[in-house]
This record gives sequence, structure tokens and C-alpha cells, in this order.
Amino acid sequence: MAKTQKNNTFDNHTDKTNDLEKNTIRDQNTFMTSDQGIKINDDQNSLKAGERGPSLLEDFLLREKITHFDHERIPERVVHARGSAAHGFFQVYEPIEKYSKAGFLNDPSRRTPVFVRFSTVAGSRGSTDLARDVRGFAVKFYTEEGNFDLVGNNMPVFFIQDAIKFPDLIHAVKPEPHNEIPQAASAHDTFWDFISLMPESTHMIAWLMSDRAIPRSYRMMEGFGVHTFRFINAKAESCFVKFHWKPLLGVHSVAWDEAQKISGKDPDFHRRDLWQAIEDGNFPQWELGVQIVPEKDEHNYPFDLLDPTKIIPEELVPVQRIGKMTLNRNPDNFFAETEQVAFHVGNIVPGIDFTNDPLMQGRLFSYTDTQLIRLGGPNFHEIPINRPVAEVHNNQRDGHMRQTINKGRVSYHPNSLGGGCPFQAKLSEGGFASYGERIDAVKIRERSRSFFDHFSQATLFYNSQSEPEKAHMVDAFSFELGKVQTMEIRERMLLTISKIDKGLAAQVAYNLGLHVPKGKVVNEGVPADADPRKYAPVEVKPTLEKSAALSMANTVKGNITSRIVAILVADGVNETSVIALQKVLTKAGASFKTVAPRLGFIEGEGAGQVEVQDSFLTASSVMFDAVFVPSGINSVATLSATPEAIHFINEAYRHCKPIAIEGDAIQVLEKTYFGARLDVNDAYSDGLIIANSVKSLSTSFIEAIGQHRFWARETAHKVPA
Amino acid sequence: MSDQAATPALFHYKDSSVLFSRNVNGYETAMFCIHNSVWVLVTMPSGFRLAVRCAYSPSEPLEVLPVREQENGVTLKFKSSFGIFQVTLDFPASDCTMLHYKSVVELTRSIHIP
Repeated sequence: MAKTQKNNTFDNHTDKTNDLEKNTIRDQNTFMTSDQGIKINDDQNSLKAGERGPSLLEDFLLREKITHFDHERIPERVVHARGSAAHGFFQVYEPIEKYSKAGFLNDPSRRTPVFVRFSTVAGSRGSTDLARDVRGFAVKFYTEEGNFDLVGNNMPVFFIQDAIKFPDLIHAVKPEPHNEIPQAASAHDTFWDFISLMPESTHMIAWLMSDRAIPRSYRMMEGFGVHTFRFINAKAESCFVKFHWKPLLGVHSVAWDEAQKISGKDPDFHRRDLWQAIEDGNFPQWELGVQIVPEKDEHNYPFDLLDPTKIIPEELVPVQRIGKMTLNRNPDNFFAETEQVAFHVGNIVPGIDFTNDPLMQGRLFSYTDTQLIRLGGPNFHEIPINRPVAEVHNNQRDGHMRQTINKGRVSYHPNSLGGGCPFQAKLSEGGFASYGERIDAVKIRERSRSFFDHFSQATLFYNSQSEPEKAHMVDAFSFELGKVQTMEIRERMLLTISKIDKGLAAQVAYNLGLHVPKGKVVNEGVPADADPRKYAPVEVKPTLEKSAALSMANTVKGNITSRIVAILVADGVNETSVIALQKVLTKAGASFKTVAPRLGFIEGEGAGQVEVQDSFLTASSVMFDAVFVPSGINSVATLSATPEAIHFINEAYRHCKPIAIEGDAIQVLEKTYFGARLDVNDAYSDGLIIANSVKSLSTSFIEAIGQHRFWARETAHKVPA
Repeated sequence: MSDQAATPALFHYKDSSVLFSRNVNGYETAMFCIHNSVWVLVTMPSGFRLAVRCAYSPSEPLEVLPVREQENGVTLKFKSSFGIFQVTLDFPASDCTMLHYKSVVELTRSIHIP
């Protein structure tokens, strides 16, 4: 579709901003008061019987303050507890009235406010951002027709096919109940025990063991609606739709070794990255993509559209990009907004509807249910971040913490005393009507036979990966299963992995010191009276050999906006080079930090000074996308003799990052593990730029940063860093 | 469990307390409990080794109950959360070297081990 987006300026004001403003408090030039508005004179001392006497129960100020403090925490989300969010807006490129009558998808001039929350799944609120995990990608659209929540993930499929298994899955992946270990990690026995007995999880496991599970940034992740939804047009005609979010910065990951180090050095890495990018004006953007399947084609695929463990390969149904989302404002208050936001798959607007995906059907119940306890009652829709910009009028009343003051005698319908208000809306007036899908069926607890191909799309995913990505999957499986203590589980998983790819299984088995068992994978998710043969996985040969969209190697590259470069400096650095590279990076949209043996200012080899933003004590290479070592005799001599500097460069090389070396800084490179072994003519020097001046290295360096990583290095030079 | 997966456990044999051992005509038979598994390991004069896992409790260690040793062999009991294993080894007098082994589990609740 042509992109004719109007009004492309990035002011951060939306209808939702205005709405939130009503509840936004600023304390500048105000007196401190109690919750009752009484000005406080002494916030330092409690009321006592004598200056050394006991505190008095009468002290209402002490009681109010302590009581409120004691009740500050609410239950964390049972899943997706760890998250970060931002405000923004969505604009459609062109009307899609052929498919959907949703207002926000049909008016290119309309900026629909959004609030987007990214998250990990398994870890607690305070856990690391860099866990190997699925990332939540939940978007609340505050449309003029009401709230639409697209509650997705950064992976397009899920572990299970039916919501009734969700508690089991989460119990298995969460820290084990006897000792609450490990935090935010799937590498333990109970998770893999469950997975090894539930072959329907195989496709999702392939994604989880891929680099998608350790993103470089929330801003560099794809998003997926996971389920098949319906679009409904004004003629009440339906088609199936899969939702995609395509990041304009491309899809990028970190290395697993790097992820583990970031978890220690800066567990808020993704949160900080999102926050800082928005503060810097580098607003993250995604295009909304849709895969449309006409109703008549529902059964024309070798998989079931209702099965959430399946994708629709983009080669079969291309993704049409229909609009763009921009995140341009950080929340004012984490608790009020990011913590209290309540997403719900069931929040839809006219023009969008559900399908019978059994995982989705269960989610339609679960979200409201969990929010009732997490947010304390049925009025959480009134919390500022949750309330729609569309007006709310109904006969729901009362309950804990009710904010709305409903006037009048009437809270029922039909009524005459209230003039029949609020009215029901006709379809022509925008009233919602569920799609009239014909259903004629027997009430039954069953799994459709069309759901039992558990392996072919896992194989498609693996076959579509680049060689480095495949190697990372071998390492990931080996790490995770290596942490599993029960041999039987390891062996069961090897059998399952062999159904993805025999070579993959053989490499993992080698790392585990085992052989790949032979035989058929057994599905233990079988009802008590069912014939296990009916539940056995059906082995189907993939119809596609590869799908390019599944590999991050094929992602958008070249945009270095918001990438961060470490400039290693010491006294005597060529400050002209530092300034020159900083200008180049700034022009390209990247940012930089100087890193030195100490903080403060260092003396340049000329008359200038260079401000140091980080020391080797406070920074680590894992926090940067690339490294530049400028020239300068004394600086080079100092860095060459500083083990932390050498480690910094070694580690950056190990994680396949671009490194630029200017002039005599080659001496620093020669001190590194890889520098002493490197043939600058071989492929493993890709991304290593050595030149005599910033002018002659800057173009290559910018291009290298735009390539993100040079994974080929991993096969040749494992750096002990 | 495959023989290969069992191997790491068997290597612990040297470090584990042997619950029972007997040498009959150069055939060394030993029984030991490693965490959640009880193993009988027979080392033949040729050095060839045969291992049998005769009790297994998937999710917790087995508790070794008092050993009853008889002239012809031994009976051991192991307690797990789902029942009691009784493992009997005996070495009947014979022209050739023989080992009889029997493992019985008395369940206190239903189990399903894949």
C-alpha cells in the first residue's frame, strides 16, 4: 500500500495526553499537605509525650503517612510482571474499509493515541530485562470508538494450543516452588519437563531458543498479535487477519554471553534504552502489518488458522503494511501508568472480532479476572491510564474505588425515568455486533486433528535461520538443557529437537554428552480416557523449505539512529579525532560516550580537554553497539597498559561489534587477544576498521554499525573475555 | 533413561557409599543410591560392567531404610513420596555364577512416569 501519511510532525500531544492531564499533579510552589489537604508544619518528627517519650496514637499525620506507605504495593502481574511502557500514536496510511470498518483504520488524518507496554514473561517485577524469554508487546489504542488492545508478543506463536494449559505452562517456567529458583529463567527442570511432554510447544521452543529471545532493544523487536483475528467491514463481511508490528530500526539481538553480562551490569538495559531513546527524540516506530485471509480460504492451508502454534508464512500471505505507530512520550509516573495499565484481549472495537482459537478464547476470560485482584476491584477501567477517550455511559455502578459520580435515579435498562438513557446504539450508529459466525456443533472437550502437526513449522523456522543463528540455537538448547538435572528430561528433549532437525539435535546431544534417542515423540497431554494414539504428533513434511522473514539476518539494516558508540580515551588523546567522530555520529543519528580510566576531564594532546562520561569501572562494552579508539601517543600508551581497556575491546570483538581504530591506536589493538592473531584480510576482520584518520574510517564505521553485528567472527576467534 | 545418560551417574559410584557389595567368583556386585536412583552395578572379571537401575524417584531423593543382609543376598527398602521400593538380590548356589534381582514397588498413590 502507498504510504500517504499526513501530519508527520512529532508533537507528543494527543487526546489521551489531555485526558491524563486531569489527573496529573505538579508540586512546584505548593505546600506539603496531608491527604486531607491540611498543611503540614513538621514532617521530621512524630508527635511524642515529651521529647524522649513514646509516640502518641493521636498523631494522625504519622499514621496517615505510615499507613499509606504500608499499602503502596499491589500484587505484581502473574506473568509479564517486568515491563516498560511509553505513549505515542498510530496513524493508518490509507483506509482499509474493504476489510474493516474500524474507525482508526480508515481515517489517515486521525492520530489514535496509544500506550505500549513491553515486558518479559517469567521474571518478577525487579528481574533483569535480558532474560532469555518471550517479550510482551501490548498496545492499547485509545480510539474514538473505544479502546482496542492488541495484546501480543515478539514471537508469532505460543507454547500451547488451549488456554486450559496456561497455568501449567506458567507453573513450569516460573521459579520452582520449593526453593523459588531460578529467577527469570527457563533453564531448569520443571520447564523442560513440561515442554518435553507437550510436543505442541516445539515451534515456540524453536523461537525461544533463537536470538529473538534476547533482543537488543524493545525498539528492535517485531510484534505479533499471535492469534488469528477477524476484520469485519461495513457490510458485515469477515476476513481473517494476523497482526504484525515491523520495527523501522530492524530486528536485532544481542549475544547470549552479552545478555548474561548485561543482566549483571545493567538489569534495566531495555527499560533505560527505551526511556533514553524517547528522551533523546529518537522515537521508536513500527509499521502495522496485516496478513489477510479471505473467509473462503480458511481451510486452504496445511495448518489450522485457529492454532496459535502456527504462523502463516509470509510467502503464502504477504504482510501488507497499513499504518505506523510512533512512541514519543515517556510516562510521567511508572506506577500510575506502566504498572496500573490493564490490557485485555477482549477490548475490541467495531470492525475487529475474535476467532475460535482456543487459546484466545481463554484469554478473553483471564485478563479481566487477573486485573480484578491485581488492581483491587471492578473499577480499574476508571484508572486514568485505562479509561478510554471515548465517553463511557452504562449502568455499571459502585464497587471499590468508584470514581465516576453517576447522576440521577436510573441505573438500569430499559427505563422510563431516565428517558431510556443511555441508549443502545444501532449498527449504523456505531454499535458493536459480534460477527454472526455459524456454529453447529456437539459440546465436546477435544483437540482438532488439524492441530497435531507440531514439528513442520519448527523445522521451517530452523531451516530459515542463517548459519550464525542456527549456531546460537545449538548453544541455547545446550545451555538450557545443560542446566536441567534430570537425565530423562534431557533425553526426551533431544528426541523432540530431532523432529525439528536431526543435525541440530546431534549438536546439542554432543554438547550434553548424550546420543539422540530414537523413536516417536510422545504427547503426554492426553485426557484420561482418550486413546493416546489419537493425540500423537503427526509428522508432516514442511511445504516451504525456507521463509526469509523468519531470519533476523534479512532484517532492515543501515539505520544507526540511537546506536551508542564507546570512545576509549585517556590523557593525551587526539581530541580533534574525538570531536570529528562525534560530529559524524551525531549527523548519522547515533550517540556516543567517552570511556576513560577515570572520570572528570582528560587532557588532549593539543590544548583541548575531553569530558569523560564513563570510566572503565562504571561502563562495560556490553552497554555499547560499537567501539572507537582514537589516536594520541600518550592515550594509546595508557590504554595499552590498562587491562580494563583491553578487556573492553576484546569483549566487543567477542560480541561481534564494529570496532574502529585510528592511527597509532593500532598498538592498543595489538594488545588484544584477537589483534595479535588476526589477519586483516580474512573475513573475521569484517567490522574492524583501521585507518589513519577519522575522515578515512568514518564511512566504513557507520556502515559497519548499520550492519549491527559480524557474527562470522564467532566461528574463528572465540575471545576469552 | 539410556545407557549413555546413566553413565555420569555411574561414575559417581566411587564416591558414593556402597549399600551392599559381594564378590562371587570374581564378579563384583555393588548396590548404591545416588540421589533419586538406586543402581546395581556388576563388574565382571573381564572388566565389563552391567548396571541396572532398580529404584527411581523422579522428583526427590530416595530414603534408604535399614538394610537386611542374609547369607544368600540382601533385601533393601527405599522410601519415596509415592511408595516403598523393595529390592532383593540373591546369589543362589550353583555351578555357574548367578545373580537374582527383584525390584518391587508398593505404591501409596497413583503415579505416571513417561
